[in-house]
Amino acid sequence: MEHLKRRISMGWFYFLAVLALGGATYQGYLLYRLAALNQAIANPDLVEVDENTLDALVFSKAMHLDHTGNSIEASRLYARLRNSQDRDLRTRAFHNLGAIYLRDGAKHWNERGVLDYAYVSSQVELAKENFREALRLDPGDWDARFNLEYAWRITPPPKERPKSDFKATKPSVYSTLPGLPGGGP
Amino acid sequence: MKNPFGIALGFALFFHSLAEASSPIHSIEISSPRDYGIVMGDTLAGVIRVETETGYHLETASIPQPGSAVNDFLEIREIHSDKQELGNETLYRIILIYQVFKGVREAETLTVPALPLRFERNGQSVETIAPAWNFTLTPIIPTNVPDEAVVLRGELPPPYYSGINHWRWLAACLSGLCGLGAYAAWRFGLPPFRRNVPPFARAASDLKKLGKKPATQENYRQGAKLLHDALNEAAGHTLLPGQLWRFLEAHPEYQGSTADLERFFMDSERVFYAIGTVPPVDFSLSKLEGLCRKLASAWGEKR
Repeated sequence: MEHLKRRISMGWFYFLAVLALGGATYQGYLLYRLAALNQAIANPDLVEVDENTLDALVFSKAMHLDHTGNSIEASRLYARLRNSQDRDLRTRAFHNLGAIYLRDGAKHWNERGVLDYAYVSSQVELAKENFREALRLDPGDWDARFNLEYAWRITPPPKERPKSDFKATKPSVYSTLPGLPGGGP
Repeated sequence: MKNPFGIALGFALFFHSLAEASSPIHSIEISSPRDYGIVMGDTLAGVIRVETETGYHLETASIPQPGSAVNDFLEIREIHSDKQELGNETLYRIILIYQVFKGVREAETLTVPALPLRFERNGQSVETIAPAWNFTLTPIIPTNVPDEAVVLRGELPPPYYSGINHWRWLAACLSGLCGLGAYAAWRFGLPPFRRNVPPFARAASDLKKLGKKPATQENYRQGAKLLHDALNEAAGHTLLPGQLWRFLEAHPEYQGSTADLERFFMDSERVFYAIGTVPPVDFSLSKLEGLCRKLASAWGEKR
């Protein structure tokens, strides 16, 4: 009986011991997984992206592709992160996507100016849109502010519509129609 | 009617004052905590204070929604409103947080457009307008730097997951385990708490437990070993039968048990070295325990 009483009084001890041991094991497992994730992020060249790839790894891969000159594929991967549940990652994706467009637009603007009007305009507008979204998510992103201001600076002025010199009047309309001599029947 | 113009002006002023007095909107004003030093991406607040007749409610549909664009460079981020009853007036306070997305080459004054607001009482709606207000937008990039010389800011790196919360939880769980382990050691007299127990008292406690087991030769051997261990610990070395007198000279507090100790050593020699010996009936485990308690009390008195 005494033995049983002692066992019951030690019940809380065993309960807490199991709880602490279980908690320590679970946290250790999560830390192991985080370490593996950080390791994979640090080695993006080994990452194979498919539809189940974690967002952080997709981001890391996109950045690696951008650095190795494949900015088109990088843009595609960043665009995939626009709907990520991770707000911080989404902000970073918008920021980097804006940086890719702006870098390209600025390069063409500085090299060819208004000769590349349409291309520069579209790239700069895309950059502005992405930086704006990054700033909506995180107004403290000063690099996005800087780049967005630069995008405003290099936004080409609106193209003027070409003037129309054609002044048609009823008596002269025949002269503009080929093969129909003026004053014909 | 010498001056019809003056009379008409008098009437106009009279009706104007009447109209003002009868308007349910008593006053409306707008202010901003800071309307200068704003740069790209900053948020700026406009605080509208409206005093109305009691009973008028602000129609929330008349206020723009957060996230909506005011114009091509201003967006509304947040809207907060509250009201306060002041006698026969109601004071509404509407705070609009805007975010500015405009890049300028040099400081510019920009305008936040006027905002129409509607109030309603008993199905009757009345509209008023919060006036437009200005703020100064300043560039981030120095004005004198040409576009070609501006160095773009780079990309943001991938996030690093520190797992600080997991480390904290792990530390808490391990601390809990250490605490429980310490409690168990104390509860069951395990090291390091065992060291504080005098050697003979510890042996007595173990002999008591052993006494509950059947009186076999093996158990008696174990009991004798417990007392030997306690004596060795008290002597500071392995105490052999021939060294007993020297030990008792060095520790006079145990001299009261000299006869019992001599008999114990003799029995012990028989138990450990004789073949087929049965447990000595004249010196049972309970006697060993009694001897241990006697030695333990002598040890305690000396301390």
